[in-house]
Amino acid sequence: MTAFPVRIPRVSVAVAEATLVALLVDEGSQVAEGDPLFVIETEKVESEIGAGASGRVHWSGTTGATYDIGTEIGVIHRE
Amino acid sequence: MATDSGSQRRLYELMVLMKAADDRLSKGIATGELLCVYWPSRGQEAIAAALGLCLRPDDQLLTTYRGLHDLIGKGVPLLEIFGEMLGRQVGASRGKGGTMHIARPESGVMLSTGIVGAGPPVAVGLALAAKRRGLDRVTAVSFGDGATNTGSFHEAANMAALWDLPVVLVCQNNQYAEMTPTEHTMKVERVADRALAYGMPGVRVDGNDPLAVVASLRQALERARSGGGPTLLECLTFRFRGHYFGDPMAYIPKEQLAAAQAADPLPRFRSHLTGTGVCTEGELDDIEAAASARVEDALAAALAAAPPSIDELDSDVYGDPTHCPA
Repeated sequence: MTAFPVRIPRVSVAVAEATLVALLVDEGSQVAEGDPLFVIETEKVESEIGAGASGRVHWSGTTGATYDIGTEIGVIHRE
Repeated sequence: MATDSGSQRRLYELMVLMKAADDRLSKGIATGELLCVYWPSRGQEAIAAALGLCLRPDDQLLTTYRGLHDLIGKGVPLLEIFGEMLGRQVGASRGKGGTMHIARPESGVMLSTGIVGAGPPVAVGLALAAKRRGLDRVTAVSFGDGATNTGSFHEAANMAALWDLPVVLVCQNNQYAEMTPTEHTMKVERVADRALAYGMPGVRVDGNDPLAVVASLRQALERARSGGGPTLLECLTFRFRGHYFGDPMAYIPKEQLAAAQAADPLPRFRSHLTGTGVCTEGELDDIEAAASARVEDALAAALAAAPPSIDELDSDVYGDPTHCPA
């Protein structure tokens, strides 16, 4: 089993941080690569972020919090 | 001169590798796996593949920040491209240049620039050097439609024509300068028509048809190599992912994007290859699988590589970093 880190992506060239608006799957649930995973807001634009891998999701990020680009907010455990 | 079967297959291999690299970078950036910036070249592969096929190893190429496809075509190893984008020591510029600043003189790639219109004057200088040294190499410079509105482009085109320099000016007209459509920035409809002002041939070609680009490019290269001077080659194309990766593309009419995607050079050339019997479906499937595997291997190696050490901060900047010129 390998762990795929879930990070705040760089959805635009000139952004340094993003707000985690929503988690779209529950803690411990199974996702497939590409499934909608969470929503972030940068520069008043919301972006839906897909899963980068298939597996079971565990969250460490908190909705409403603002994070630097690249911050790990969870992990997908690949089986 | 018709393009032989082997060359057609090579064009497809290059286009597929360019697309595979773009797709993988896009997926990685979108999910937060890769924290780099990227100006996507998806949609413009036919032009870069033609350059890759037609340029000799000793010919030179200059490109822009939207240069992933051009770099792959000219033979820059994927590891050095990905390594540079991700800030690793294995990058073409040892991880200190970033996406916009990839050069590899051993492959003939002399410059990637982040400044719109900055390539042509440098190409003119390289071509002048080749001419004065009696070399028969050609310098090709790749740029977008917006670059042809800059003063540096016009100065370079004028000098290249005046001195009959071995240059091919390759305009990858993707119909937008950053977020501005071409018709909002130039009165002429065809970039190629600008060549008339400098006394050089101006050719417009379907930039989504690699065989059409190859045919025009070969003529331009022959003319340049034989002392006939420069050509402005306008290749009409489109970029599918906007200006930068993550660009919401709200300024692009949906119908225009749909029409451009319907003219995607990859499936179109694939159909040509199978329809004319140059390759079988199975052979093309193998080419695509091999490209994806190469991209995955290179990306894994780049991610595993170390970033540049702080000791290298001043190296490769000035010859003497302690007493650098003012």
